[in-house]
Amino acid sequence: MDIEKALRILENLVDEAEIFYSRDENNEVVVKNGKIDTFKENISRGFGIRVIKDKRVGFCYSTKLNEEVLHKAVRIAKLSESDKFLSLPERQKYISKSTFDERILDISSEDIAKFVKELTSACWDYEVIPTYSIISFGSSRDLIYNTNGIEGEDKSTSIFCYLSTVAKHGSEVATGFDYEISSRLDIDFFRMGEKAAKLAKESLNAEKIEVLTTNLILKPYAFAELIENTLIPSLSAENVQRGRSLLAGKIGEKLFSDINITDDGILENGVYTSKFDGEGVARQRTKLVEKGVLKNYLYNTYTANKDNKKSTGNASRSYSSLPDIAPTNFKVSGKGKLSEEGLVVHGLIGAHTSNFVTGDFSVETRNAFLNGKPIKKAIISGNIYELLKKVAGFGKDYRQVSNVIAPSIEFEEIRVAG
Amino acid sequence: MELKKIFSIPARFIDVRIQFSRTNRITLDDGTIRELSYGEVEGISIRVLDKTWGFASSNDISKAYKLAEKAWKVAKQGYKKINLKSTDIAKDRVKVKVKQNPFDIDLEEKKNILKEAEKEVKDKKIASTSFSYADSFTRTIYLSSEGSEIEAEIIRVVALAKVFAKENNKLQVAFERIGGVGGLELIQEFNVKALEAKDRAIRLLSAKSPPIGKFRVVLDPKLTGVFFHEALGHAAEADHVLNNESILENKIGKRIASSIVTVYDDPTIKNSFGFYFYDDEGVKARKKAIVEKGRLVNYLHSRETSEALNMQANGNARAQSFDHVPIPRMSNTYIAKGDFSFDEIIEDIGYGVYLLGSKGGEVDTARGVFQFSAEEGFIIRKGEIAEPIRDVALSGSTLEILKQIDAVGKDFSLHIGFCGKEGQLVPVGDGGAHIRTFATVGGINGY
Repeated sequence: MDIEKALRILENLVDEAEIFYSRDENNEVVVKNGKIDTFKENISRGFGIRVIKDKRVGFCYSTKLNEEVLHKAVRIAKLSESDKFLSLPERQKYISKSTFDERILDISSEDIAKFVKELTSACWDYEVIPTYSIISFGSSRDLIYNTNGIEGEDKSTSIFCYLSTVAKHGSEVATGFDYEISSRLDIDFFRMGEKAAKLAKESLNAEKIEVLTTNLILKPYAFAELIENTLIPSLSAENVQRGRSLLAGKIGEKLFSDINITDDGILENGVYTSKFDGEGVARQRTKLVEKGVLKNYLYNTYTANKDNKKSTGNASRSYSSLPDIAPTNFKVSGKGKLSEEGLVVHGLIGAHTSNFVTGDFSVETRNAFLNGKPIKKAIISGNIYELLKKVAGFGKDYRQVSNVIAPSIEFEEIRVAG
Repeated sequence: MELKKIFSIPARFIDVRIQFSRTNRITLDDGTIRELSYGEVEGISIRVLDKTWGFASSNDISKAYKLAEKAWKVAKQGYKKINLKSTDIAKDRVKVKVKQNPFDIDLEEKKNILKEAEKEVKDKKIASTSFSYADSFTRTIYLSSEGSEIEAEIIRVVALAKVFAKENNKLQVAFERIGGVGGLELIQEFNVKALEAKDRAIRLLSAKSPPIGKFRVVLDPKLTGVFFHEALGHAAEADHVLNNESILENKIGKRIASSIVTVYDDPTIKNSFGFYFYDDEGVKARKKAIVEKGRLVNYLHSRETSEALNMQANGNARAQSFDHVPIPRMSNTYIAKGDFSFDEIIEDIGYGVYLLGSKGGEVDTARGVFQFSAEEGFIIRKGEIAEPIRDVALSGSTLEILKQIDAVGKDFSLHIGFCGKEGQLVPVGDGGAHIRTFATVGGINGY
């Protein structure tokens, strides 16, 4: 059954209906100790059917589209409860689209062998073991149709690489890593290998530290891990409206140092740039924080209806889930330079255990250097709302890590325990 | 048919997993149904071993042979020496026995489980609640070129309570989860769990930040489970060992923990969250000790890693679903009980920290450094439990802490969780007894 026919059937049964279809083709190469271990190819596709009848929502998903699934969604809606804020978006004008780089589709097994060689050769040069790496690339096609006139199609490509390394010196062991994600085939694998190898090597001969107070410089990867698990959930309008966010009622207040945060769903070649969000609303650029002042939250259609606002196009989903709220390209920027001293941290261990409600965190560090010297272990503790009041400077090394685009950021006087 | 033809491909080894699953989900947010949903997913994956592993998956089962050819093509390109441990050929059909099959019970009744819990936690300090329920039925057919044919049916239920408490300008959240492999009988106690979450969320409002530094610590069974899972279990996964990523490399037979420590991994525990009949390479599930009286006795293996290390395959190759490659994973991991009562464990602690529950953790297996966060804690002063503390994390070096365990409790409980590795999430059980050791504690406003 095709989507248009399914929609015609639903039109007669419910007030509003939506069909979301996605098809992902993904390739993955796992490399262990420098040798290719597994080639993996996945094709995943499915349909999500959302219907609203008398302001009650029903949802069904399936890898096959047939009448049974449609009727099941309608039956489920009848068992649900009425919520006057439920609605599907109206027809939209799209101003952006995903990046589709044909070169990613054309990656051959010879290319992969070349990437792996580039990635690992720098490691061997540094006498560092490229223990585990993964190169993942592919394309996806999303379709969305609803009975309010939304008809959208978008195609995207992406490539991602993660590499972890181990350096040994006598009985001492140090680890390193690097990460790149892009919508285009522009990853410099040799440079990634070199960075991960150097990081492991430079982390050898680490020293123990005691409890101390120091300036903290979070490299982009560490900053992204932290902010995803602390601040970002509180910017969701859903959490704000349900009293689960400390940012509720704070619009217009100066909360932080002079930092800017923008959710940019239309950023050219951004990894999370697309034509529309998970319910067909046009992607846009949303200013969330300007010079430390809170300006907005992230909305989907349901939460926008509650606040009598327009959706910011941040509905996020897969075919098997209802639209939730998530950032697109979440850019953090500001002025001021980095100082030379302090604790420089490349990655975190356990950032996901942070308290996403209070913003409190207490995390172990990965590849931490105190005034240039590697240290064995350091636990950094604090609160994201306090931390963002102590921003002392920004680097120029902006990069995208998952949804977050940020440079190295320096914070004043943080407590650290060895 | 198509499937038989796959095995005519002249590769060294081929296996096929076909999966069909059905899922119901219900979410009740602040008293109103937010989600009622039903889903069906089917798919197939084919793994081919030649010079390396080739793997292909799709939701379209009818194109099985084409997929196999794809996997075969890439498998011929590598140059890594991979061999598999020989194991018993299994021809079996297995099914989980359930008392109250969730697929025979209508949505209304399941909805009421959440509604009841919601009524239970109403309080002026409770700002928001979210209760969710999910059940799933999964049928997996495993076929291998060696002749294994296994059909396994698993039914799983899980319910989660998330409770937000607010007072003045403070906000806190607490979670509780219940469930396992079986029917609705496994979530009978959901009300009790919801109440636990409510009480904890309220307690956390007035809890203070923990001290920072190295202390005597006591972990409750839930956190003990997570500690052994994170700090020891991951390092015992044989792929990490082979990959220069484990501090347990070359340590089989050696003393790595204090002699009162014995740790098991056991996927055969009835109704447990980490239960399975066969692993995802068709190897029969079995109980095994990882540490026996302080000595490392086993790693967790796939067929590939057990061959490479010349050890027994022990049935720990697991995949999140048909579209993922099986890799060495834990099932239910726990420390065997000891003989200390709780009072005996804390009575000679002058100043220490008692930590309960887990918000998850992470480990760098190569360096043996771990971090994990407790849901709440208490200061121990002069052998007694004193004031509550919150947002407390533990970190330390695995081998140091294992050697410093000087008390294991005689209580025992197993808790449910999901473990992530290489992008795959699998259900696990963690648990054991109260333990006492030393670790670095981190809080937010250290003193």
